[in-house]
Amino acid sequence: MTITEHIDESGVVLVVEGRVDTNTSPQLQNFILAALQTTGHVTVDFAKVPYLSSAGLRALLLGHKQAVSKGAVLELVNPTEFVTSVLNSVGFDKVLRIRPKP
Amino acid sequence: MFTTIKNRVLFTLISLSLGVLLLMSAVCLYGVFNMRAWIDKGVADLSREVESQSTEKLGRTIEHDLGEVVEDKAALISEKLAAIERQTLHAASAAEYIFAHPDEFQPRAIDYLQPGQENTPTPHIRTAPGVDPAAIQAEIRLAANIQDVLRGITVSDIGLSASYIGVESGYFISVDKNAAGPENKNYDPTTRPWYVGAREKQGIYWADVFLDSSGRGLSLSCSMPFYTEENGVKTLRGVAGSGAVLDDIRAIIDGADIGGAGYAFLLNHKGEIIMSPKLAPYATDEQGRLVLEKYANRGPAEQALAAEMTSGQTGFVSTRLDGEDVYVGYTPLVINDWSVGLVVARSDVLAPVDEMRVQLSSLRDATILALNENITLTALLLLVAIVLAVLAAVMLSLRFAGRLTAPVVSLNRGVREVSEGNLDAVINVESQDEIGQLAQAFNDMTRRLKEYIQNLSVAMAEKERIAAELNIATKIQSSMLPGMPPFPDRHDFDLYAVMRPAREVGGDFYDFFLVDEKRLGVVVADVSGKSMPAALFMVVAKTLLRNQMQLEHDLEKVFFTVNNQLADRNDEAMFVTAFAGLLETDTGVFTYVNAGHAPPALRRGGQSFSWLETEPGFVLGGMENISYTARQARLLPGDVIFIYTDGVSEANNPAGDLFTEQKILDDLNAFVPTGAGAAAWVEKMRENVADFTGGLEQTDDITMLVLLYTGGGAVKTLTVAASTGCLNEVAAFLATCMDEAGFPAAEGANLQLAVEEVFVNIARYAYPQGGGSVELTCSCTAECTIVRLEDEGIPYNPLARPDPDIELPAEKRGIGGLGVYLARTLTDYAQYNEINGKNILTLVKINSPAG
Repeated sequence: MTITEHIDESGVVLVVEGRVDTNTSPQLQNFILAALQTTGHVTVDFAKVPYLSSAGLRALLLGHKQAVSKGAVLELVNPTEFVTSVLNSVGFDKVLRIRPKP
Repeated sequence: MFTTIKNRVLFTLISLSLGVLLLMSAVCLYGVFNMRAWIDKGVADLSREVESQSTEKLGRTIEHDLGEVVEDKAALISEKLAAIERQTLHAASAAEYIFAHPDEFQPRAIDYLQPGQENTPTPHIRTAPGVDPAAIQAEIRLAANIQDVLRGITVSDIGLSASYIGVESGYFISVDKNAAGPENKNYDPTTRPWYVGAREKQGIYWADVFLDSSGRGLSLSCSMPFYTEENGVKTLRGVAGSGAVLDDIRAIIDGADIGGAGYAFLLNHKGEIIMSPKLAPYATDEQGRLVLEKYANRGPAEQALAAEMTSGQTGFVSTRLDGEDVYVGYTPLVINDWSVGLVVARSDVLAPVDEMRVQLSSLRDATILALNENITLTALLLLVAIVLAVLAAVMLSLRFAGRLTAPVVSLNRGVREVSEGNLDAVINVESQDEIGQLAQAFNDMTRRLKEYIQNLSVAMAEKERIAAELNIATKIQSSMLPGMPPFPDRHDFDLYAVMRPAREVGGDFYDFFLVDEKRLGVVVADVSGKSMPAALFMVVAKTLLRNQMQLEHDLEKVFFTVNNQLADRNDEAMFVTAFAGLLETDTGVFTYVNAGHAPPALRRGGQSFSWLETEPGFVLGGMENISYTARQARLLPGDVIFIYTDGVSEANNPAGDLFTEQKILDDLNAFVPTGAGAAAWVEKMRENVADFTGGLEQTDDITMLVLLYTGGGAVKTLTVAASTGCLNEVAAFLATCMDEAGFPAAEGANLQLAVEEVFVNIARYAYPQGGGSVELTCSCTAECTIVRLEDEGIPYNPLARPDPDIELPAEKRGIGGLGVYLARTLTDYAQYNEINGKNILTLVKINSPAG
């Protein structure tokens, strides 16, 4: 899994590529928490994430909680079909701010 | 103790005799004790009665005696006083005569005491102060003529101490018994109490007691005035008097008693104690004057008594003096106002009563003692009698019981001998009573038993021979069925079956065999009827079915052929219901045909059990040229088929209820196997049937066969360290397996996720000490993938975790806890088993292109 970070007009954008599993999700978590330190809006782009495990879900939930406590926003965009099904099956679609693929 | 009749008879007789004896003893002892109590009470009553009566009588007697004695003593004292009074009157009349007739007498001088006459009564004269004896010389000389009278009185034996006259002119002439004094000019007789008293009383006057001036003790005096009469005018000339020491009276008072007990006392008219041997009689004050004690001052009882006595009463009282119960009798003197009292202690009076009471009491004690000795003796005699009676009872009972029980003992011995197997034993009892009849009956019975046993032995030998043959038949039949466990080398299916005949041999059978490497044939059938005929028909049916299924893979043709063969020359019209199936082990395709058999139960894709849909055909062997229709089902890995005969569904319980097909479905659905394999299902169902019938004898043959399809895919295994670092390795292994089998990647991702969650769980928690490993087994076809994860860590069933609440908003959600939930929801079937200390978790994902 690789993560590239850039800044646009909304805030920080994290583009994730590869499997987000038990081994890689701590890295995602670090990126999200670091980005929330610098900006009020973090966008996580999952267009190229084919696989998400519960560890990844945990990273997203932690990020979301951190963002809410700071009055910031964490947005997940472009989840793949599999990732969407995982998110749905545990009710995260109702918790996280998710923007599907256009 | 009472195991023999003899002992019982013995016990009864002893008990009876002992009982009677004890009862008699009790009655006897009761009577004696009663008598003792009665005597005790009687003597006490008698003692009381005697005491009461005696006391009363003695009280009356003492009243009488006291009265007599006190009056006697009063009379004695009065007599003494009367004598004194008489002498005093004598002196007064003499003096009166001398003064009335002066011319009849010669003038005289007082004859004074001469030497040597000290102890004889001596006259002397005293004159009052201021009186000149010379002036009244003539009168004194006349008066001196009285001295002979006075001497006579004084020496009389009535105990007087002195006799004297006092003359109004102021002189005093006296003859004293032993006290002679010199001429005294300082004594005025007219002022003395005895003179004044008599003058005022004009008659006999008794003066108060006084202490004699000569030291002779307590004394009294009696005086009488004398007059001269001239021309009818009475002129007092003087007073004559007598003095007496109270020794005589004291002797009377001191000697007064009642039978040696009690004491007397003398009171004057003021109630003062003059004398008494018991009470303090008198004292003297500083001037040496006499002081008498008032009797009334001694106490209230004395006060009452004194009042009575000073008022001149005669009487008797029972009272209490000085803390003692006493009787007192009293009476006044006739002469003066004195009173005599006599006191006797009640205890002295009643001494005889006490003595009698003591005697009565000791008499009672002696009686009781004698009675007690009698009681002891009686008890001892009774004890001896009891011992003798028991001995007699024992001896008699032994003889009696022995005679009574002898035939019984003889009978008992004979019966025991027979019961030990000696049928030739004969009981010899001569008596004609019930025991004799019983012995005769027993002898008859023994003889018939012997005959019967001989007949039975022949029949038994025949039966044993048939049983032995049947036993061999059972073994042959059971050996004809395939042995268990079958196909230990096959991992793509598991199979287990049982057949329990109701009799030695049955008409049910099961069969299974590999038609080729990838096809498994299974048969379950039930021949009509039971036992030997059914077994014979079963052998034919089984052989035909297996042969045909091996030759011809089309089940419809197999059943058509076998039916015709069985129906041919089937004169007995026997038939067989059968279910047969062919499983393609790699694809799970299951082709089956049903000839009048109960449809099997199928659990497909982790769902509940339901009846397999069949095309029911006619029974085999019933009729020729019947065609049968086969059906197909696609089995998935993990699917279970339960094939049975009606011996299961129609098993009876003691209440007559049937097991029923519904209960088969319910029981199968309720069962969660803990061990892997088909055997667990068969064993569970067999157990359920046994529980249901409750040990009731089996009425029909029971056959059950379970086929567990575990999948036909290629099996790959990977063993890795239980560490999240190996996660990529695991993912790659799964991907390879599914790629090779052509399992769609979209479905595979779900399984990948599930496996990761379970693996991470194991890696984190199963081995707290670290160093463990996980073994993954993957079996994959295009239709289905099965992954099994095995670890040897802490036993833990992750599937038992409660579901997280996925409806909660973010702020209420815990971080984590979603992994196992995901693993369960993203797969079609998950099962946990703990087998041989291993945690085994099986995950199944089915390719469902439609959904």
